[in-house]
Amino acid sequence: MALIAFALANVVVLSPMVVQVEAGLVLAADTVVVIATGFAALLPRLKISARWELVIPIATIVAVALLRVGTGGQASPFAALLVIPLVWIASEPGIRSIVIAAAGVAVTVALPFAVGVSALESEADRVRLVFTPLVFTVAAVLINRISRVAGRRIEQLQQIDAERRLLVASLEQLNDEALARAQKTRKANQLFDEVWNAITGHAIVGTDLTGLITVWNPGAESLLGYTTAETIGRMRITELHIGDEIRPEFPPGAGSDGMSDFPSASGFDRLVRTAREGLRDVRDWTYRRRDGEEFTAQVSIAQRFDVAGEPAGFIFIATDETDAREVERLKDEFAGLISHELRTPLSSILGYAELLEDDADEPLTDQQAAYLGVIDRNARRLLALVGDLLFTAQVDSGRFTMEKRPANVSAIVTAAVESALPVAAAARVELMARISTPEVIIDADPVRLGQAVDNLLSNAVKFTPAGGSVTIELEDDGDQVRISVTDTGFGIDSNELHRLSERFFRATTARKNAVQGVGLGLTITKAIVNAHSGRMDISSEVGKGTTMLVILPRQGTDGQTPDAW
Amino acid sequence: MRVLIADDDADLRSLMIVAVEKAGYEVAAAVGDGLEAWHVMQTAEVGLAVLDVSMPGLTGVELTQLIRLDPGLRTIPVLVITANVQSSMAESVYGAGANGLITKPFRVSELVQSLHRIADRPL
Repeated sequence: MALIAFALANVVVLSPMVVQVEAGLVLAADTVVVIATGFAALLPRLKISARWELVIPIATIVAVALLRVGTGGQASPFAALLVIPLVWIASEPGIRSIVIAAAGVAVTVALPFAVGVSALESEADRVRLVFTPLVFTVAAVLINRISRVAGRRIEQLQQIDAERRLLVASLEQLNDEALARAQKTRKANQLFDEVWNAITGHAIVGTDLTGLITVWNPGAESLLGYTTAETIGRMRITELHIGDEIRPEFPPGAGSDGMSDFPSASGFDRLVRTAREGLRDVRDWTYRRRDGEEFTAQVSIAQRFDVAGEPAGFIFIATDETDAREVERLKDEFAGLISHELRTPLSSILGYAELLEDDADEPLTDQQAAYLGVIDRNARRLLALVGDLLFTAQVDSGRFTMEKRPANVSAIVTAAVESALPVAAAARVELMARISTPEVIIDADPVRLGQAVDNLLSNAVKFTPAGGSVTIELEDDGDQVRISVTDTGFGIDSNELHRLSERFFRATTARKNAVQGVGLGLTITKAIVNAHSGRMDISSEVGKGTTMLVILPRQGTDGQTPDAW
Repeated sequence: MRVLIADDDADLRSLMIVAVEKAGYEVAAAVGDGLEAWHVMQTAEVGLAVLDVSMPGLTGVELTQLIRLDPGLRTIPVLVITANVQSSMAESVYGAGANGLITKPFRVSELVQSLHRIADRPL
């Protein structure tokens, strides 16, 4: 700005009109202005205090003073140029800048007189000498004040602007978060929709508190044949059930549940009674499809709650059990078939062998009798296997029936020992029994329990090499009855202990030592022990022997403890 | 005493014939089909029936029920033979009105004893 003003001043100076010019001083003034301008240009790059900015207007004052002196002093037309640095300096905050501005003006005004270019010729000159700086000083004070007020305004505006920016930034952040949340919700919804539509094997039906259907999934559409539009808000869950199963226990109208206003509400009440109490309710119900076909469904019923935690209705998850039932039926049929198809030819083998053996007219030679004995023994092995297979099939399908009555465990163990004695003797294994009391009565199925003890003993004998021993002990400590069978046999690898109850599993030691068997004995024994609410423990060491421990509770059938293996 | 034998397994039928003869009875007929057995009982004179449960035509249990409903046959002793060892089978066999039940495989001597036992037992 000052440079432009000085350029104009130079034009004036060089123009042919005017005033007497002292070229040296004008040049000096120009030089000062050029340097000041150069300094101003460099200032942002020089890392020095902002206070140095004041050097520029001060230099400009000096330049104006020189120009004035060089262009006729008091008569110079360029006093007005003072306004530029004055405003600059005065606008800087603080009294100091007013003082500098006033001093600068005073010096500029006084300089021509001081150097003798002008003389104080009149009273007016003297007045001007005092008055001009005074006016400029007042102007500087005003400018300083205005500048201070403006500065504050700017500061306030800047503060407001900063606050506005902060606000905008936080709004933008909120907006971003909202967008992210919306996207998350969209994703969750999408996932829910995908899962919802993928569940086609289970019917998921939601109802309100009265049984009116409010939720109907694609699985329900395919399983029950009704569309969502047909059911939601139009049908009651009770309409899907066959009447017999949900018939209210009291005739309609006589109900004391206060819900008889709703059609089939009493039936619905019966349906959700357990779920309403907050209990898990999973059982089989018969559903009727749209086409009238009935099928068994396993239905899980649970209560639904609204946001406030108040009961809002019920959720029914139904699984078609038709296939499972069919598989179960086929399994039973298969087990029955196998049993029949194997037992019938075995009957012939055993029966004809018996006829040969008992033929009084043509007695057998010793060798023939021995051969016949082999046929008979092996046929009986097959027969035992058929029995075991049938038994495990029954255990599998949960139709393994027990006929419990007070039974004497001592007698059962004694009988098992007696029947195992010939086999043990043949294998040259010593069989010892330690039975503490002659009468140990518990509630048990004596046939099944006998089978379990037989299995334990025959296993122990089979797994013990000639010269070894098997000991069976029976203890009764009041609360429980313990039967332990200890042998000095091959033992079982500890890595295999947990697999012993697996069907058809045979321990490495059994296979290595060519012990006969298919691996069903322990499965059956364990099933029998479990059915008596008992448990089995097994400890074994390869090369030393095995102890099988059966613990039967004297009382109760609940609270079965899981086995340790 | 004339005994009817019904079992769809020919070898077992032969074995049963031997057992019936060992017991000192006469074999009226030995058939492999439940319906055929029913026809034999309608036409021939039968004093005791040994019936297998699993047969084509009619099962031993169904035959027993028919026999018990037939005024002319209802007093005939019936021995049922089955390969099914489950207690539910025993229930349905005795429920149908059989006098005895033997499960396969059986000893010939066991069959002979059972024949004697039910033949002697007045209904």
